Amino acid sequence: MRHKIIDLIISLAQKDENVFLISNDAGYGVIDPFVEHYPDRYLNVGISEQNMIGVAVGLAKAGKRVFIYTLANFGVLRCLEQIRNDICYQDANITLIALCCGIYYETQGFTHFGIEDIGCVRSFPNTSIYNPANNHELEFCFNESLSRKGFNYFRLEQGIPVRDYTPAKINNYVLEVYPKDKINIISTGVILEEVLQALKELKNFHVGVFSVPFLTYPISDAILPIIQDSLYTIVIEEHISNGGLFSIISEVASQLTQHSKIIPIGLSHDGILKIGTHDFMRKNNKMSAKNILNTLKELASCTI
Amino acid sequence: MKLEEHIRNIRIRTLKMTYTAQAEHIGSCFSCIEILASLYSSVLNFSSNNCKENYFILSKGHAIAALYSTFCEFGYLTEEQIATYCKDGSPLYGEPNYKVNGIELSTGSLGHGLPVAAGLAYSFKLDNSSKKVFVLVGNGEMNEGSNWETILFAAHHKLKNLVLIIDDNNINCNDFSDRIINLKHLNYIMTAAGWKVIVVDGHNSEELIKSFKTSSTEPLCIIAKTIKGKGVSFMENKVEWHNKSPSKKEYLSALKELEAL
Repeated sequence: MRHKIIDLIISLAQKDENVFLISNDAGYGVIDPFVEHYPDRYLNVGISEQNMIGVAVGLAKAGKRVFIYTLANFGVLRCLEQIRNDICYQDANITLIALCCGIYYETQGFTHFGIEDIGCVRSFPNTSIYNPANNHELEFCFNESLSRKGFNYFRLEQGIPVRDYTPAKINNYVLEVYPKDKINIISTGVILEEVLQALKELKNFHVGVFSVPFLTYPISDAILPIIQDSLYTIVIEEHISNGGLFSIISEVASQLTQHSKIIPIGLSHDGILKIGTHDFMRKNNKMSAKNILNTLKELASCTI
Repeated sequence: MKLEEHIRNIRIRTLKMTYTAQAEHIGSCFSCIEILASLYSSVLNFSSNNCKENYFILSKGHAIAALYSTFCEFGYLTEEQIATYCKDGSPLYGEPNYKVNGIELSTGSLGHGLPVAAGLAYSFKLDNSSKKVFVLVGNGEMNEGSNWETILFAAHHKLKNLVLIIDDNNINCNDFSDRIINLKHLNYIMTAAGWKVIVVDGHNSEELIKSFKTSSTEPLCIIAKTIKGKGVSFMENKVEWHNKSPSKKEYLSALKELEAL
């Protein structure tokens, strides 16, 4: 997805001479095509994230259409106040792309896991957060973001590629992978692939699956029917559940007096301290395809 | 009217605003009145964003009363607008508000103004524009790491259109600055970082204006030596006047001193 978003930015830059890319010494081997095409429209500020956000705001004030390429935690948490004060509260129009979201960076440990950023950023004003599962979702998000003012935050997770799928329906920015049923899974980001692998093994039992790449768009109207008419809703994300998609869905559910049991599958702070391969860490955090399948089988037995 | 008269008026108005609102930061306001008056009578004019010649960011945002008083003195705000300072619902609250015409950036959290100023300066340099960007920080604000990131960045890119003015009154919030973080050798540090440095009397408008117009091949740092609470004898160089609001007695006493100037 990181190469895809650079391609999308290059396409935009061909039409808009104000497109400008800034990074904090990140993106080696990825942003090169943009730098080669437009060397005068690229700036590496060095490893100085607070400076990076301020400089980006200054460039935007001077008329540039600014895209920031960085790594989550460093380019988001470290300069959270700059993002809040100088971008979100002052109507600056800036798109920030953050890699290192989720636990893909495996053996680097918690300093390199962007797993609380949704919780931190979603309470800011004028903010749109995108968490696509694959290139198709990314392109959908990117095109929607072009008309969105304010802070557009693309968090790009990595992992085993999520297969292309054609959403059966796109309902208020919630993508229907499989139609709703008594048990539903609402997923965001690349963990969707583990969900789809789990469902391949599930025989004679249907589960609804929905992907939510637009985390801060108005999705209530799409979510309410899913959680209202079902028995169980699993909310899965490669992020701490507290503050992430689980919190978003729970807030939607608070509009109802009756709804399905909402079950979070997400990272835990203890769970991410045991370091290993991405596969090992997903298993340790109970979010591998096998874990998801076991959870579904338990829930399925409760519905009989 | 001579600039010194404007400065006197700005100081009196700032006192009245701060007392009426029972606001804080009068010491910080008084130390930079000559700086602001000198800027707006020389290199800055009040224009809409589209036709600004030069840009200014008040990074030490807690001195906003001084800036609004300066705006009023030069006709950019009315006395009626000034009377709403810190009143319920007023856009003129206790830190800069970017929605007020003439304010470039909402500040208040220290260390934010210089990076944004550098971004503007970088963009102007790219576009071969002659516009300059002036930013006023406090000396305590120079403790902030974000400033140092930008100081190195600006020097590397030789942003000669960026002018950093340090209101060096040697008082932070809780204590004298040199008892907290020693910045006595700031001029050497900035020079070593790749900036041109000028040290001036921050209450001498002639020296200030000359420094603003200095040309340079590097970013320019003007260290303005000032006195916190300048102009009122019992406020000058006192730590307490960073946060304290004047009582009625103190207000009347200060007003008497300033009107006698």
